Amino acid sequence: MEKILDRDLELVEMKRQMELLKSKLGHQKIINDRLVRRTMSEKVGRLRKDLFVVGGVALLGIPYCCWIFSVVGFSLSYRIVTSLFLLIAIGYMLYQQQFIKPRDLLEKNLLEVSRKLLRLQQSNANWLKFSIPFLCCWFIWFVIESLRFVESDVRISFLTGGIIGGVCGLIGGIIHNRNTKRRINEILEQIKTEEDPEGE
Amino acid sequence: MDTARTDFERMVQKHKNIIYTVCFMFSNDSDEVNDLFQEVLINLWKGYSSFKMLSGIDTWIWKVSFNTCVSSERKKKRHKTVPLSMDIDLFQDKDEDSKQIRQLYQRIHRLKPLDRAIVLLWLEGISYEEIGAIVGISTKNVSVRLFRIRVELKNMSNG
Repeated sequence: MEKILDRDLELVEMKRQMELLKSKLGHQKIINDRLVRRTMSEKVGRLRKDLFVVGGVALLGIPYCCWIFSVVGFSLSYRIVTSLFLLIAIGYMLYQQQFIKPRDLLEKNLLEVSRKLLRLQQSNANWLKFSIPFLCCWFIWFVIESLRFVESDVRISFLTGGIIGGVCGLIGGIIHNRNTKRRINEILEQIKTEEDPEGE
Repeated sequence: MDTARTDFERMVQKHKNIIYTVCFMFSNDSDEVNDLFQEVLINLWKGYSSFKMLSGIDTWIWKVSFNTCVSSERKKKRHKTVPLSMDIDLFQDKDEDSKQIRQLYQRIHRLKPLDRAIVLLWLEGISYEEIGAIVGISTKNVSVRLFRIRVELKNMSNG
């Protein structure tokens, strides 16, 4: 019986067509690819959102700092340096956007995306190397300016406010940095799993 | 849980052809293929922890796929699900291979569900004994049914 079926031309053709089907399906990926890309794309979207928030705060900070420091009598050079730093921060934020486009996650080669994310991580590390020492110096200068220029009756409260603001900024910065690092690592981990599901 | 999930994903990746082929042959359009595909995966996941390797994994996957497709109700409304993706639409693709595959589909799709299952398994080169084990009939019955399927396919092409 089996030999009869094997010789049947129609069934032979169907076997050939079945091989075509298997060959076509053999090249396909399933499920995880789009779903994981979508999840990663959402994470990248959150990273971008965080950057925009930081950039927005920096943008609002420029006029605010100029105004408040001029009211309390801080030196012009201090106000200029503060504004310049905030402008650099905004420029840096815009520069980082190129590394994290949600659309890339949906469309581009994942290896290319992971390279961009690694560059983003490196860029973040470089920014911290610059900004942390700068902010330490800036804060010392803030204290000096407060002691020199702020009127004595409000000096203590102004300094206290500045220190509280500084501490809040420090905590906020640490949280933001940790979240960014964690998200990038999660995305890189997912890309690694997606590219090499067998774990070879 | 993570290990089981990773193992399950690897198993599905390895046997996706079986699942997709069955879903394709039991559907009328690509939406239905995707719906069935997802249902099969859900049923495979549900049975995965209790799968005791009494049969080969291929046999088990064939069984679950067929049972799901044969017993699933046609859903008129598309319910919101995770969008499945195999980047292929065998109902719409216009290349020569897809046309050949649609020809195969048209022949098989006209058969009754049990006959579809039997002929698919036979086309996969699976033995009569195993076909019988998967669809739940005797080996002799498989042989008789295959012969009748052959006649029916011939009549379809002539008619």
